[in-house]
Amino acid sequence: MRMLVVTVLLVLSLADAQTPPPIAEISTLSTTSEVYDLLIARNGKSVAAFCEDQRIRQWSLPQGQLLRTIDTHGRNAALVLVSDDGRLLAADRDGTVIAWDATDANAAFQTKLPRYRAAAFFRTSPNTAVFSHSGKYLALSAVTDTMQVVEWPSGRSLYTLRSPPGGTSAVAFSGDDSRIAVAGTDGILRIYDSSSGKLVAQNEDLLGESFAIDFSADGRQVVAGGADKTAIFVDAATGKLIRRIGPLADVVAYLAISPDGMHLSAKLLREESSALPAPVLVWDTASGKKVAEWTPPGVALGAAWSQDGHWLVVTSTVTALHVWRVY
Amino acid sequence: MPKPPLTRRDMLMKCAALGSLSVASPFSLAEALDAWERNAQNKALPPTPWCGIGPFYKRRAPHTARLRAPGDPGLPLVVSGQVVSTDATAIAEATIEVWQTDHLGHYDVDGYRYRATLAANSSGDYSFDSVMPGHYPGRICQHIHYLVAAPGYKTLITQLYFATDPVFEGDPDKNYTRDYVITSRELVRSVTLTGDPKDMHAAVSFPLVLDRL
Repeated sequence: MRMLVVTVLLVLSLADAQTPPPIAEISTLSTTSEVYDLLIARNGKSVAAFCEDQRIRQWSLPQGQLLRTIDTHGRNAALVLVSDDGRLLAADRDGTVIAWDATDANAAFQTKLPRYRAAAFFRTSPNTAVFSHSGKYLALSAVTDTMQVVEWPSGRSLYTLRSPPGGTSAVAFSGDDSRIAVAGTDGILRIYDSSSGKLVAQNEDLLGESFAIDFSADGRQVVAGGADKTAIFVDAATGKLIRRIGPLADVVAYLAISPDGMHLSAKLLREESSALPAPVLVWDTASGKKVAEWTPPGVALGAAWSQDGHWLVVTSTVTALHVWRVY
Repeated sequence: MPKPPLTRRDMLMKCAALGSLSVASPFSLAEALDAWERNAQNKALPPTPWCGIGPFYKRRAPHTARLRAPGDPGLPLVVSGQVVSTDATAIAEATIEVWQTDHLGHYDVDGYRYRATLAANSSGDYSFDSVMPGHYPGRICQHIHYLVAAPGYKTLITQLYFATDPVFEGDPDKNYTRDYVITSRELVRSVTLTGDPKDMHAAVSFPLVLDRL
């Protein structure tokens, strides 16, 4: 009898260990001004929002502490990037791109792009700019035929990578910063050596634009997805297709592999309108089995894996940001 | 005080106003006068303005000029034009990819409805049969996307807009910037309606000028 009880308890505790905690709102961040645009740092440590009063507000996660407020002096801006250590990039519709250090409210540097190039930052993909994992380099894709890799904080351009005529829609650095994976508007994935800018591999298995791209934790695979409503895993050295997840219910807007490499998460986008809530999903990367799917109460504006391995999604209402732990 | 002499353009405008100069559709008076002045001064044509590719491009669109299937709802639309270089030479080898929404503003992401790959003929002319696109919820204006490629020329990505779009309130000169994606007034084209009220057709001319590499 005692043996049976111990066995049952053991089974229950094992089951409990494998069951993820239920989806819950873990932070509510009050805003005095409605959020227009939002980005979350890749490591889930901070979230920044561009608000109706044309100020950028940045909070720590998961505490929800307001870290700073930056007055953009009347700019109609979109957030382009929030780095792991809290640096910010924003662009306005007139083509001005501004970068801020993590603590200083004064701009670290400012550059002017033609209006039509800056329009790229108002697009569907939140992945058009990325910091390298070391934080020293910044890849800025624009709606032109090149993508710039610039040095922080000088803003000096190191080299440019050719893109398809329609431009680049998503970019990612490998964990050791040795490779840059670029998803083009033509659906073709290109993987470059980040020190030389030379093309290493490419994949043409997606026909529509890819909005999302990421490297596996060991840097050996690239995952990408977009208008084709699938996510594909590609060998980063050869460009060969390894496997495909999908078809999915809708367009893939964002993909991220967890820091431990165990999970792949996705944020979908309703093709009929980006203003409608769409599902977020999590898969086990080894088996490809879906382990979570949830449609938030509002549009998932930002998403990231936290350092402790939780998949966080942020939605907004007029007066608050809502941070959800989905997995 | 003596009057300043009329410029060539002013003189032609006056001729048009008085009826001694008329312009056959589908060209607007302004376009025809621009062409006259360019020819007179032996000036190069300006390349067609670039306009973003948008999120719904899809490779391998079918080779057809008939995007509208029999019975498709919406206002039938024929778009035509000539692909030329900036020195006005016809580009016979041009490949033109077009894609648009249906009349309700829906893109076909899963398949290839209202998507096509066209080949310009030996005179650089192209034409396709479609419907007036609807308003996609994520965009302000009705539009058709273009990707034009030809050996020896820079690939052109642009969009065609319609002067009749309600967003412009009848005055695209003044209101074309209401859609921040529109890079040039030149991309907003006049629409010619033909037929009778029960069987109305729209026609739009959209010439494409490519820069040499």
